[in-house]
Amino acid sequence: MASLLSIRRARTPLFSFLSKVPSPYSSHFIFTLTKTLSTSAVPNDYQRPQQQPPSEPRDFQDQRNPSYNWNSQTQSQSYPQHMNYGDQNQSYPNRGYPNQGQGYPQHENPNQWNRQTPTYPQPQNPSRPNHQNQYYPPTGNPSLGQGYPQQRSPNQWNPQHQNPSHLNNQNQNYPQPGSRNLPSNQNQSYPHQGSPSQWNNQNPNQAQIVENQVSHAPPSVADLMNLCQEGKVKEAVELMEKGVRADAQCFYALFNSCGSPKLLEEAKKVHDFFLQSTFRSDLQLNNKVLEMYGNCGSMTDARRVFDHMANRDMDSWHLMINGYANNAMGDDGLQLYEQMRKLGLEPNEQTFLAVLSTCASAEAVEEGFIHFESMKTEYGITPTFEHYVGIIDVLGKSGHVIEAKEFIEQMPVEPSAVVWEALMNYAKIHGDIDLEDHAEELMVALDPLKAVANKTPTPPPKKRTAINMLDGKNRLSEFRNPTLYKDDEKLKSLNGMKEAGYVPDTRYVLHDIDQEAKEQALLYHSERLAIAYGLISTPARTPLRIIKNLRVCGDCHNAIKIMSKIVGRELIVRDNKRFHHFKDGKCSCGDYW
Amino acid sequence: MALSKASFFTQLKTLTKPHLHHPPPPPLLSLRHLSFVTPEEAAAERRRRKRRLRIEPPLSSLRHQQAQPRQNPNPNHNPNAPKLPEPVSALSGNRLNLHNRILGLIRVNDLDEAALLTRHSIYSNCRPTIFTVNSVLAALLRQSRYSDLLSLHRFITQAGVAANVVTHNLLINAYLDCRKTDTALEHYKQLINDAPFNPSPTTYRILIKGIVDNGKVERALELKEEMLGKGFAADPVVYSYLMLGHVRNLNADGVFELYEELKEKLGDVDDGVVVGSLMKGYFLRGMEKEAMQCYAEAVGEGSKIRMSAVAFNSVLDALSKNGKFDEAMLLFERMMAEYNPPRRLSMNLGSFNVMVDGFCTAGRFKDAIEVFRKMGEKRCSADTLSYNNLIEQLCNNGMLAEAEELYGEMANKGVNPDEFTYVLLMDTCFKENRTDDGAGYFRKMVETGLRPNLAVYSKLVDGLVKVGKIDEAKSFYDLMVKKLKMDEASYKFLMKALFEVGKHDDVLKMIGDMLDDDASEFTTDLQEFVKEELRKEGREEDVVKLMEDKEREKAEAQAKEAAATEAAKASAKAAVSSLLPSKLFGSKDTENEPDVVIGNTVEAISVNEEVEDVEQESIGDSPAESGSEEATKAHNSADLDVKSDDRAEQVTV
Repeated sequence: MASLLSIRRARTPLFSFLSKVPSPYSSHFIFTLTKTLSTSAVPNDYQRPQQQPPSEPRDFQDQRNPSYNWNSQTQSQSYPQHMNYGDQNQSYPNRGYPNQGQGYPQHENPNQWNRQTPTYPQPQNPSRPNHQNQYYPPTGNPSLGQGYPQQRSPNQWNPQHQNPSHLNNQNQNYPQPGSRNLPSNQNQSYPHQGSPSQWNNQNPNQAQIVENQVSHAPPSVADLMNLCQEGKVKEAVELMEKGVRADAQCFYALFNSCGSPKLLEEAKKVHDFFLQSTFRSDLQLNNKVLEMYGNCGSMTDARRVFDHMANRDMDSWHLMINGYANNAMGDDGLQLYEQMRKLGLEPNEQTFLAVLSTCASAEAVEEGFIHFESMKTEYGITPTFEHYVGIIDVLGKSGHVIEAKEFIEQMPVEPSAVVWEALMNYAKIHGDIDLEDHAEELMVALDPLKAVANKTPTPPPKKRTAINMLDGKNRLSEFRNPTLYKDDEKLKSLNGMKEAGYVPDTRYVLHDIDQEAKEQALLYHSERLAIAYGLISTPARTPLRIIKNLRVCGDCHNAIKIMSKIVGRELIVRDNKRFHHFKDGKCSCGDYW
Repeated sequence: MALSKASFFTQLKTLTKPHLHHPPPPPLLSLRHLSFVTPEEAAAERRRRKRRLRIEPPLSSLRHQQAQPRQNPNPNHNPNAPKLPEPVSALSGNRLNLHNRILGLIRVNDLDEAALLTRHSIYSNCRPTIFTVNSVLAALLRQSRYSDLLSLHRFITQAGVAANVVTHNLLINAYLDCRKTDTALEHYKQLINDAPFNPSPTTYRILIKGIVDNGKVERALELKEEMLGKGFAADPVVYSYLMLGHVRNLNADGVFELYEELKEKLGDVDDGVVVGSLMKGYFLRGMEKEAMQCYAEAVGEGSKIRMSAVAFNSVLDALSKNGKFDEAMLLFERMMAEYNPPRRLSMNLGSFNVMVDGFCTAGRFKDAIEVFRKMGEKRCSADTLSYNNLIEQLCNNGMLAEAEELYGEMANKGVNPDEFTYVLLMDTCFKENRTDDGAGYFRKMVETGLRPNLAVYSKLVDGLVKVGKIDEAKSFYDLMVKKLKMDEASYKFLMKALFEVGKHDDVLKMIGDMLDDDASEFTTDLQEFVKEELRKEGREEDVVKLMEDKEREKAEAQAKEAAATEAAKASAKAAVSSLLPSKLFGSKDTENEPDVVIGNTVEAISVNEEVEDVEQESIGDSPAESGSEEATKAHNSADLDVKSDDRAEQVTV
């Protein structure tokens, strides 16, 4: 653990180094960071030599690794040698000891070495291209030590040839050792972005090598930033676990990309890192955390963060209320709004948008209107178009589609196509086909681009109550037979018999227990449990196949017949006698088995 | 490092501290107040309702988790307790796909498949949301398929899909359409008492409209009070329904009372739906001038009253029914001119119906048909009701040819005639002495699966007998007797007709069929009548003999059936007794068994002894052995399988 932290500290000088390279983010944070952390990093660095010895014996055991030790010892001394061998050395120990990943100092070699030779600005940059370049020499320069190149070449050569851009990059680097400053930037990101995916396709054995690539190319904030921007959250978290310190930008990007319920675990990890970072009290980032947890669907976590925020701005409140709304916890959102009002905060337009959406999620129509009114009367905010849309959401989500339509018609604002589209969608959700058509028509009239081609025309209604101008309903029953006809009835009763309730047949329970217990016992026959499981784990109407090693009992046979009728599936049950195909309440065995 | 770690832990510590600024959760079960003065109270009520059902009260959920993390939040939670309906956000992924698929089925009007797919999906890994169910229910209601609607609703209730307010509205609507006001009100009461949400204004609209339509204005007025008491705003639409109810009951005072009340509640009534009823109220009182003043206010220049199609229709109706047909025509012209879909829907099918009615009362049938034909221009398509209306008017005024022409049109336009259409045409045909055509309409009606009732059938037979077409009447009797439960009078009528033409054998055959059919009863009155008639011919004993024969046949059949059931029982017993140890079906049973199975019972008994032996062995054993015991038994019973099969064959031989 101590070493892990020391590694993190050790990495920090890289910030200063990198900030010289043109970077997409503002350098302000980075400089401050460098100042603050580089001071504390100094004592840790002194511990390093003490830690190394225990790892050395292991390395010696591996016969192909002599150069590793040599490298770690010589890293600060002979720079050119390191260029030649450093990369190969790094990959070998990893292959031999895959667990070394985090704690081992050799990953840090480049960093360390960068830090220790701050006076040489030139060599610092080419350090990365060198790793790439080293793959090149083996073919051209076989004298490099026969053991390594031969083993490596199958793994590392192929991808390079298959990826023209990769190759290209290196070709640029290779012939021009003097002008390495420029391509170095590209190469820094290369091992992370390109190589894992490319190389993974090659050969399962290469997984290790990929790791090697990632690890030996010194992970830096820039790498992290790249990962963050690409949304590769898991990789980014791994990197951070290895000790890369994220900066504010990284956190910002990470919080953005963690906002998905599937990434809650990562989100929590990122949040942990954030808490350990120096920006933990940054208001904007804390708001971002609220948003992230809201998007992850974990309002408990969001609330915890919110409750511990030293200072909150209106955005924090909005994010929380919106978060509750999006996670179907509208009641809590409304409660939070109450709390906000009690604290004497003046809600603004945005607040009311959030409140309306939380009312929509709580299906609180009355409260929605109360807040809408209070917005006008108490706070003197003129409702904007968005607020009206908010009310439509409140009505629509609560199933009050007719009321929503009337509200739209009475709005002082001219309804736009968006409004009608919203109403159309709500009508669709709640199954009001006529309203859906009406809204769609109005929407298309306002925005012809939204017209749906080849729409199935609505079937005409058969219902007579739409227009209450004539009392036709009452007349009809004068002539219609109110009850079913005899033949219809017969048909119905026949169907009814089949669907008739299942009566447990306890003759098949051979234990000496009371009647009720027997009925209970029947429920747990394995074929029924199997069918029940099958039903809840497969889509509708797929046949189920059940295999049982004993003969199906008569009660189960009856029960399965009824089940097959109700669930509308074919249930194929194999017992030790035969196959039973249950379909539509009948069994292929004809009840004779 | 140590420093940062420590600070991290203090952070954690503060995180686990309870939050003090949460208000204590409100008591779960508080007394329900049935009326609210302010909407705030209604809102609080909504929360309370929801909370009653929540597994965890919403606001303490957070605290709950902190207090006892990862523990069963509510150990004695009843799985059958009512649930909260799912929020709209549940409609996503596969469930949304299912929803869209079912909406597609509804679009092509394949409601059977839509309902079936919904049912089948209940038992799958993709349960339909309540929204999908509602869509199917709404489509069923739209197509007047009430029994399917109710059965689907029952099904989803049993399957534990929590209903939302839309479901309740649809169900109440269906009950009211079936004229079952009591059931609807009962359901409404259930909604008020149990549901975790408040009824919507639409619920009250549906309820009050349906109850008024079913002639229970008083009850509807009570409901309106209840609605206002719950904090709902006074809804002009609801008031218009109630006023219409009063108009129908010719209660002008009631109309004005309601209007005053609405005015008081809303301040300024700007919704036009009440205008028509108000005018009718004035007309009822004979205050023509006030009525027309009211009309001028509503539709005059610069009027602030919003007039929808329904509002216009009611005004139109008020005018045309009260001798102001010229005004009505002017208004109708204006409505036609203003009609600008989809923005301005100033008229609908009802407007045409009112105008057709108006023209017909004025005796201008040609104009009526002309207006009727204009419907297509304004994107209204006539439904069965409008056709029936016009056909009725034409039939009553001796214009059968035009009526039949319209009837022919219906088929082309895909409008299905109903019982009313056919009966109208049949009646008129009889009136015009075209009995064959009339009979043809009846036959058509039955063939298309409609269900004319006994009165219609009697009318037909009556008409046929009157013109002496007894044979034809008899053929319709043969057609309908299988379907319709006839009463004594209809039997008597046809028998009389048959006796008159001397077809006594036919009558006897009829009686024979009646006696065969359990559903129809050969009453003593009818017996007397038949005997009387036969006595004239001296064949009185024929019917007695026939009855005796039938009695005997029935008795024989019964005996046969009894014997068959007995045999079946015996075979079942034999099978069971061989399967089961004598503990359940002791030796007493086997002794009583019929001779046929004796040979097998010996076998069975021997097997029983075997099983008993096994049991006795296992009694001393530990309970862990019981599994193997069951296995042995199962094995034994499997062995027996073949034997019992043999036995079943023997019994049936």
